[in-house]
Amino acid sequence: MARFPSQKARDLTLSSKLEALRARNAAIDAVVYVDFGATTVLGASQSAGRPQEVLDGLCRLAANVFDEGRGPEQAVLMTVTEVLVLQHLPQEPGTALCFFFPPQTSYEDACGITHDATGSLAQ
Amino acid sequence: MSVSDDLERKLERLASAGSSAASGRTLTPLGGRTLLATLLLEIDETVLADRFRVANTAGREILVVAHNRRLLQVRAPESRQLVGGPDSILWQPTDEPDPENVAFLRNFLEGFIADSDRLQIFAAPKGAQGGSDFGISAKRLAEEWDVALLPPAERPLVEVLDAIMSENKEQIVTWVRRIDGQTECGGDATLFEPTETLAQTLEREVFATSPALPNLSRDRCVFTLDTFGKAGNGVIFAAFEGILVTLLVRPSGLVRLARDLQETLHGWYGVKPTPV
Repeated sequence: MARFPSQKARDLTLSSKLEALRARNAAIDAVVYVDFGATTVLGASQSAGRPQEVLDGLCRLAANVFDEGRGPEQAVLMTVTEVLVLQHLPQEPGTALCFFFPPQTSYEDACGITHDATGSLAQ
Repeated sequence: MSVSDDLERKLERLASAGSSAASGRTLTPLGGRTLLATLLLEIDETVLADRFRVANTAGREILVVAHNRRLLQVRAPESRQLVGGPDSILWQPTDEPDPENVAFLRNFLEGFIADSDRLQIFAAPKGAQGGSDFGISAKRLAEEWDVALLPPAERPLVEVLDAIMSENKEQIVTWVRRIDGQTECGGDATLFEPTETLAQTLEREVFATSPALPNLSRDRCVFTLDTFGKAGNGVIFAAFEGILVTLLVRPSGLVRLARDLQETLHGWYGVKPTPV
């Protein structure tokens, strides 16, 4: 009988992939993958280190932002302590990647790095 | 920037110290802060004894030894040190105050930073600290070199936002602003109503996340959407100390406006005062 990867093994693989995505650019602090349709966090890079309520809040924000018909592909939230970029993944309906950057990361750089990193997923 | 904002930022940085240093962090100047000031700020925020490599855009590196917000030494990277020889110390403070020693450090760092628009910071293996136990504080270096680590005295935010909107008026399709419960609109009048509806929606949805993101508040935040609706305009929603601004922006103007507002977020106003 074929052995299927356990849920834990799949979680580790996703975490490793997100960590690899984060490591592509030194400016990225953390990457979180969310299913905003189900309001669920699917995975996070090892350095994410955010409390669960933060990750749940990201799910809700992504769900509000990427509502059907609105059209945005990318949302950016800037506060005094971080720059957060939410990138819709049309190839994976209902999901988005959330990239965390330090607060001094320029808007343009944060958007560009997110776009490039997400584009690399399709390759 | 208010004291609480600055403190929140420092706490966040200290809490995450080292978390990404192994793979490097990028230092980029923000607003009116220079790259030299950004490097001094990095030292100013180094409380625990630390060694980190700094790489400029050309890939050249130096090793910085810092402790208790003071610069202790600047060294050549470990790989460049002579085999069997002493560590290559490029700079360290003298026992007695020496203006020439400090001037040399400035010339050296400015030369290192010249032609770079950013620096990369990497963790370095712990080693014998050596050299001075006291070093020179980053703040003192900034004062001596007349380098601004913090934003200048604050102008009224209403003035700053007015100036930013005026500078970018060709790129703003429609705007809605609410101050103290009073709502003002400008731009394409046919879009006033949908923009005001959008403003209310964004205010509700963005701040609904505030319990999860403690530093997201009505005091300072900027939120953008790259495209919205059939016309494909960008959207900016900004909150500064109770002033709520919603802008529909032409796609070509979104980056500059967002950058100006980001600089305002950190107290570095990206627009010169409008002549009276």
